Amino acid sequence: MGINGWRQHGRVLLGAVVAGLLGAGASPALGASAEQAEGPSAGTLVFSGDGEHRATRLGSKVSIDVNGMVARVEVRQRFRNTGEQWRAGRYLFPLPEDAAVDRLRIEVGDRLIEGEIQEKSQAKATYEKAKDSGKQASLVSQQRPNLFTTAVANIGPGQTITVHIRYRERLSYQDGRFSLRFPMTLTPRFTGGPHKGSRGQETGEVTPPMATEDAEATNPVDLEVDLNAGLALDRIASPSHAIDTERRGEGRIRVRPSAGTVPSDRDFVLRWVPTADDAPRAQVFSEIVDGQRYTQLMVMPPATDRAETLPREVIFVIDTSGSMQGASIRQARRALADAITRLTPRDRFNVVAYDGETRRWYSQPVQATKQQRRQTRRRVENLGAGGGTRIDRALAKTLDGGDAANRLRQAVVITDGAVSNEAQLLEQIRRDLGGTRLFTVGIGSAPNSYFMSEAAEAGRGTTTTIGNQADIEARMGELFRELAGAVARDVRVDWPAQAQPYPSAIPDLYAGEPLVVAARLPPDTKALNVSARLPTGPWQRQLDLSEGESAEGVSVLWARARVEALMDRLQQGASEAEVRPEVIDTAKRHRLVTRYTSLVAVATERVRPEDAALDSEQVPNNMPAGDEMASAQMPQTATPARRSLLIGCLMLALAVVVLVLGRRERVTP
Amino acid sequence: MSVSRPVVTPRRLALAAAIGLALAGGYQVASAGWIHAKAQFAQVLLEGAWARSDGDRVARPWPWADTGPVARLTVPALGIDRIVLAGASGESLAFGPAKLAASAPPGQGHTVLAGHRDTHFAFLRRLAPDHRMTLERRDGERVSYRVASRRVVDSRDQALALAGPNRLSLVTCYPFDAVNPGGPMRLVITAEPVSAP
Repeated sequence: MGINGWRQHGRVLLGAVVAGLLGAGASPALGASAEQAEGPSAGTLVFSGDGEHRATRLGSKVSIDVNGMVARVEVRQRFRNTGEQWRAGRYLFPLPEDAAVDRLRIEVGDRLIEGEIQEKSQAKATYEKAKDSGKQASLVSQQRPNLFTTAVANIGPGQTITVHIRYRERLSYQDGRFSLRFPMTLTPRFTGGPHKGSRGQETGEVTPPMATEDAEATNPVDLEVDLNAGLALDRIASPSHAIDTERRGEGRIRVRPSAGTVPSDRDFVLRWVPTADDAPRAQVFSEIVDGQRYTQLMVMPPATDRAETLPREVIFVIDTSGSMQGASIRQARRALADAITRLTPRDRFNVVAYDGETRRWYSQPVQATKQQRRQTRRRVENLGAGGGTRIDRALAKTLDGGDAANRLRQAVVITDGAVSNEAQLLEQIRRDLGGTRLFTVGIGSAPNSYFMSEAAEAGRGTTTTIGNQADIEARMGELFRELAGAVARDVRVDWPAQAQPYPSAIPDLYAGEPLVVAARLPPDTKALNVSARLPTGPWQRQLDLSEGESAEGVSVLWARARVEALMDRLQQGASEAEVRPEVIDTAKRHRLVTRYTSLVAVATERVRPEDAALDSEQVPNNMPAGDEMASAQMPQTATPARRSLLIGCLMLALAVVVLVLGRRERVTP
Repeated sequence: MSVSRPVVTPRRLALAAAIGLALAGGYQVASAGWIHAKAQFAQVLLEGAWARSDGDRVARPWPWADTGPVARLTVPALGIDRIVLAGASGESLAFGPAKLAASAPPGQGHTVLAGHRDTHFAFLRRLAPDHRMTLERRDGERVSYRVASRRVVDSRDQALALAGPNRLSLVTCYPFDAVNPGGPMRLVITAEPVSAP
């Protein structure tokens, strides 16, 4: 699990991440996950203008190679400009949040235009220049992680273009099961309607003028998955499509939809279940690129139903300051009571309620016996809110350096509060953390999410942001369920000296959630030792790199993780001047589209005649879309009325002036 | 020898210029008025078409229309009642606020409506968080929303997200008082669903 992955873990805890999407948001953006749940469209070419013009999509070919937890996806889509004008357009493709795009090719006629990585502004300039000079050109750029835009210029009337996109993504693993999702659903629209200007529409909505009849309804997708699971498999299935499988060895399977090509009316989902185990399992994938060894190390938790979990010591830290009054404290009370119910008699717990003062309910954490839990729940019922907010004192009482030997010590801070002395608090957390893991839960409309996520990171835990009060109980319930499932702590890898692992601090292992670390190692590294503490005692594995599965694309995922980590440093206050060159260097070396680099492809010859205008009022350079899947350009929403009125009034006034002056001339000869 | 009066006197020139300016100015003022008149009158016609529409039929507001009403937007607090058209094309927007064809039907996802800042969506200036809005669908179903956020975005580098859970976004050009149309800024007001009042 990358740093991203660990962040992601937070979201999984939120329970909002759906199979197939592992994320990397720099700050766990509210609502982002929920939106990912919606099936994105498989790619749309939108011609510039009012956002309603779509090119006709003719068909798609998708090949997916899976190696362990990495999927390499190649998509080819053909579009036709059915209009009568030369057009520029934007091609939208939704991606899983940590997808790494590393190839763009545009095929027009028999010409193949290969994209190259350039610095963003440079790439934009290259593209604009080509566009203006009538050359076919394409630009892939990204500002936020999960949607990228390809601008395509100079597509002739009736011309067909093929867009090749290649990206890599990490698969999701939950509840003992891997899943792969390829987005094929279309954004809601109706076809079969008339073209612009024609009539006869009786039902549904007006069809976008550029879409021709039925073209998208039947848009066939030719799809194939080459699966190398790296583990023995129990079963493989697709809940979305009937599939044919062809075994090609231990854990190696080729999958195709039974129907051959399938209509793109729903996402393609493939799930496979590795043979379950009682102990964690470690797996390594590795490749050598330019004399460097890149590895992806994966620690799989034991099957959820068999996993023995670590006994815990949970400190609930709850904000009872005035701002929590009303629904917030009511919901928090209920969630807290629920969390206490979930404890088992072998767990220990304590409650710290703070406002202006701090009250630690028990001088020592108490055993969560049935009676104790009931008693505490009653006390929780009586929690009121009022007074100031002194989180520093609460943290001091929580992070008292205590490390509970064989227990996992989890501190859960529930607050809606804004804090001002962030730097000081983070310093306090880092200093006093010890063996504790700090989880932050932000409720209310404006929790200080910067502090929340930084505190969780410093505390080696996760953050949960709950914006909607109605969700508090459910989301906290999910968090507490997850927290109960810790199966190993102190996961360590004996990295060689020059290793660059992401994340550098490996989190604990939770049921249903594998740890994934991407690392760059000296090429002569032979083996890695992985160790952890299980409920049953120490656990250790040696992973032989020379024997590990060779997996193409591991280097790209490492590069992606590194870029994310660098971008995170920006959030933590590092200067752009410091981060930018490093990101650009990594991106160029591994051909990655990042915030600072874009892929640009330019054809060598001019195709649009000098006298033909390019129909594109605006080709946006970039599209930040952290949470967007499908999207549309914003329509033009102002009339010239105001301008007309102004000009008209000025002219009338001028007419009056001219008349008056003319008259005056007669009087004064 | 009498000198004939020159045909073009400065006075006549001034008069001609004044008439020309007055005509051009009058045309400009009239076209502004026409835009507003069209915007208002269309809503009256749409009212009729709305009454004729039902669950699975879009009634055409006038015989040559290539759009039709898909929903009715009301904001009780501001006394706003607008018929929403299908497809946010330039044509539709002249007559009423319009639902982006690619966005979800009301109550079934992210519904996005666009409208002109100086006609149908001029009220967005006054629309504030916590205001309630209702979208009535053709089938009579009502979906209620509560304004959650207002933000101004640059349309050159932001697109509208269409995926996601049930909610309503209203988009109009920004700033409201700009003289020239076609500016890049947009005001996006997003409202979350609430259970019916």
